[in-house]
Amino acid sequence: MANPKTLLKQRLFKGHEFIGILTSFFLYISIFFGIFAIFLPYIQIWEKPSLYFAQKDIATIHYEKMLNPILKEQNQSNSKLELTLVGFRNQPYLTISRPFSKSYHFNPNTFEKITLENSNLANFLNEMHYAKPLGKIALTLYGLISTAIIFVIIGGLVMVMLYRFGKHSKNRRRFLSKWHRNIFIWLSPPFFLFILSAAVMGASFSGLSPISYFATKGEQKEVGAIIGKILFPRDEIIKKTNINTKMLPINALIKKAQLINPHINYEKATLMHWGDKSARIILEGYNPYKPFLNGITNKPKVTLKGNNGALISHIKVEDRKYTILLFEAVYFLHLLFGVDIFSRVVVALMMIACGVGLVFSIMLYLSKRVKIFKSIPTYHWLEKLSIFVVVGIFLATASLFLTQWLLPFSLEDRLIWQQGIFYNVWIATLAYSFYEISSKKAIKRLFTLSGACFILSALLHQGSVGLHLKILDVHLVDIALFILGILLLYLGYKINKKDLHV
Amino acid sequence: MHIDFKNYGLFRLSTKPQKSAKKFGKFHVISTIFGGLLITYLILALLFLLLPNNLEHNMLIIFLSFGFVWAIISFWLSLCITKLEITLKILTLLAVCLVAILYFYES
Repeated sequence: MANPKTLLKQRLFKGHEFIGILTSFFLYISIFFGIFAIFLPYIQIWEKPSLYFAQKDIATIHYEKMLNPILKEQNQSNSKLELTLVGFRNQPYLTISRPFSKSYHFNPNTFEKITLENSNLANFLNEMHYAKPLGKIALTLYGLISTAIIFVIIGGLVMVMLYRFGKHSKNRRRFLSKWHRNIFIWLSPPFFLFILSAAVMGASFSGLSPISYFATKGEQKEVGAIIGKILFPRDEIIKKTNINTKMLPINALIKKAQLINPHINYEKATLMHWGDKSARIILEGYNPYKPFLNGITNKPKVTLKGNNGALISHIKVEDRKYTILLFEAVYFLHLLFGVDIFSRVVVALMMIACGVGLVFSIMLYLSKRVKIFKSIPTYHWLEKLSIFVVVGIFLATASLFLTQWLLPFSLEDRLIWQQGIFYNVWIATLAYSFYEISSKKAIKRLFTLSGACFILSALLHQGSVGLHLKILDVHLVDIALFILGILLLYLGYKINKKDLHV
Repeated sequence: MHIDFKNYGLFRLSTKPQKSAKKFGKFHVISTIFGGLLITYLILALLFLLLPNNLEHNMLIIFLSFGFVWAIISFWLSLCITKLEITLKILTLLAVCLVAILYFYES
């Protein structure tokens, strides 16, 4: 029997390596689309030219001009209206929705209804982040994968604590190992929080039914039904008096609510029995001065009376129980609801660093597997597969951005065309990476082509919409795409000079 | 008649010599994942009985901790070298958790 210390070391390394390489491709795809999903509020404006108008301050809009036609056609039994205010996820328009019916979008500058273009780019990128096109099984699969990644993170941290690293003789492998370690040591707290919340979102709903069966003594199997009661408490039911009264204008009520709690960015207003004497308005939003404690389900709320604006209730961030605040703290960093552009950029940079660390680890694994036969590196199927995942994904996404402006908006089945091209390009890179014998050549070509596509999509968009000085967000997306394209072109240019063997 | 006990039962699990721990066998993988899941369920059921809040809030804490607990237990089990070690660990934890759950369930 060998020395127990050596055996333990071998177990730790092999467990980390085995589970790590199994989950790494899924994690890479998730991180890649997740970075686009962080900027979802900006991309979803960018993709629809009908939304290119300036945001108005919510306290200066005349809501009645848009609200009254809807109130007239509303029947009496169903008297609840939800206004999604300007600025909710960066949207410049106002949405008025009723339960169980179609919602309307308004331009608050001209008070006209907007018909949105048939375009779903930002949402599609967000859905690819958790593999929604795969169907119901995808969420559970990603939950299991993130549980496995928690395993890998714990193993990695234990290894860093127990052993000293940096004794590899080969230069390239030392570089890869060093940066894989450094990046993940420093970024492990936020990365762990991301993966933990992913595991909670994916695995806990389907995996915990035995416990909920045990806890409720056989009454309820669904965990979501139990915790939903405390996460989303019902609004109290108020009786209608059937006496018509004149309401205060909604912007005056918003101003009043802003005086009551000036720290909240109001995002949503719910009107109950509007026009009746018992009418009330519930304003809820996000408090940016208390991050990690509110935003997802814990939303500070101000309830006012509709006819005179008297305060009925005022729920602050800290008023909920500590378990809810714990839930918020776990979910906050992953969902980033209501967060401004600066924090989004910081989180995106952290995640890009994590992606780079992940690619280094895949390269490290491959460089250990590579067999050199008379100074010719041999053909390894995992190497080709990793080119498909790591590099091909850039070209596929670039095609998605390019077709957004190449295909006309009037095209029938536009979404199917766009997404079909995306999937086909991605599969084509798989075929190409297996066809091309030299991996370096394949990577260089794919990088160059995708960089050119990104730059072309930014230029095409600029050419088609022209300059809008009042809406800088749209141009910022263009600039970001342009920089990404330049970066990819530079990488493609650099690969031949430096000996980078994947 | 002479019976060599070394070929049967727990003896065979324990006495198989291990030269290196670089390979995970089928027994190791299955017992690490599913044994870890079973123990996680028992620990969470015990946690549910011990936490002081009402049902919904206890469930929320368990909801948040499920993946983390499973990963930690599986990691701890994956470090075992022999099959005997992993079997004993699972059985001991099973017994402890079951006794504790039965003890706290009535009160």
